[in-house]
Amino acid sequence: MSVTNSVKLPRVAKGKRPSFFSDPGVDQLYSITLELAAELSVALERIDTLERLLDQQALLSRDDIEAYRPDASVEAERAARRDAYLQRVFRILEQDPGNRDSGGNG
Amino acid sequence: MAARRHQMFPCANHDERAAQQFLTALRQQLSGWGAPGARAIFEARVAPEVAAREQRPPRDRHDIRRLMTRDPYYQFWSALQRRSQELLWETTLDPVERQLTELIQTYRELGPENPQRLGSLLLDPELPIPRYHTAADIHLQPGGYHTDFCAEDVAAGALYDSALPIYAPGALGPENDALGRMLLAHFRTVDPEARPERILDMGAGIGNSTLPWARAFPAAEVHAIDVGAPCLRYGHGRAESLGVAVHFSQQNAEATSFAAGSFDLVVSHIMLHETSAQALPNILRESFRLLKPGGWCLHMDIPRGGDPFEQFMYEWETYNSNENFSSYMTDADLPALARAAGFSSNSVHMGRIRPFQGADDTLYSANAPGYPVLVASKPAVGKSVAA
Repeated sequence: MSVTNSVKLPRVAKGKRPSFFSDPGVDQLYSITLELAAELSVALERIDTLERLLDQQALLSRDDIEAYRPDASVEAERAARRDAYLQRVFRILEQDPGNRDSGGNG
Repeated sequence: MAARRHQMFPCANHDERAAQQFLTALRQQLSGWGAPGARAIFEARVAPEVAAREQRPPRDRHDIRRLMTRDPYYQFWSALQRRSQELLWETTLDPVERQLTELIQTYRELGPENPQRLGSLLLDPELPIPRYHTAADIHLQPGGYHTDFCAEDVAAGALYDSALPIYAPGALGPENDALGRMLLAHFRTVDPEARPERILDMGAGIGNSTLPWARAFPAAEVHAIDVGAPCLRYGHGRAESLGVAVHFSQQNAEATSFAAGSFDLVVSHIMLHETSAQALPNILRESFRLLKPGGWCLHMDIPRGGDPFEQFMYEWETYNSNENFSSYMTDADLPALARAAGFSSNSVHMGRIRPFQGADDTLYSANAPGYPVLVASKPAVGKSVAA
């Protein structure tokens, strides 16, 4: 039996997708927004890697980026930055959710 | 991500790792403020409204669900939680797909082509996959546990193994084996003297919870069954890579090919809620049939929540992550089902397993009630079971 690297795995699970809002477009918008947030986080991480490598050496190759492995202290810095980033994105919802109606944004 | 744990574990590249770490952080945020926020909303807004309008408090988890699904905060949180569950697979699919050929080759070298292998693998391509796996993909994992996308596929196992540390960060340990270690610790309190010679793990998947049993009882012959071939192949290679002897076979826990009375111990780890109302009694009957006199079965399942609101939150995955049978388990009387399966009244009880420190018990509540476990023993021959 042969196997190849061309196997494509499906990205969508079988089963009905629930709708959380009366307008399905809102569900889609949430998904898209989250995707953007994820992409930005990945991009920021890559920039961070680039900057750190540029600090270390004058010449830079793509292999260098792939080979870069953060040590524990860099991991900790990145984890803190990720948390802060997420808190910014969700700031409006973190404000006392029990009082959202009175806050004028519910 | 942590360092590569064993030879079957897929490697993520720079950006894949960053995406997985983003998702890990996102899920921690969603459980950190999202779930407590939902309770705050319920107590501050939803419950008072229904009390004022209908002159009564919300009745039960179904009533709470009806009310909460109209709430904008809960809608928001659910939409993100659902999307994060989909991203769980999207961020693990990329590295698995890219390395699939190499992963299959590694499985072959560790498993079927390895003359020194410690365990074994027996697949049954004719085994019917039960409807509770084919109707919808549990946890939203595309293809579920059972679908082969190519010859000798291991993708489903690789996905499951790499998704677990993102789903429950830090909760299951570097080998994703904390559930097995927790149930093992509970078993030692139930029967400290037990030295089982043959152990069966039902619905074992990739065998991540099986390995602690094999390590704890090195003289025992340990079997792991599951209906999903790609998980079993992956699990076989994984166990060999970790140097643990486990005999994997593709079987349905409702009706196995093992002889009656052939095991001292039958266990399962959060499997029951992924079966069905029809399958559950069959699995308990099969557990009874397989046990030797004096043997034990321990079926551990997921927490169901302490109060109606917590029950409602625990059922989020029933309605939004294709754990379609899970809600039934909230009301199921497992000891009664065990008695109906042949176990005698005084040999059955429900235990409660406190999660290890660091286990993700805080997902919905700091006071989560722990994992329920059905404990049942088959009376020893010629010995009264009366205590």
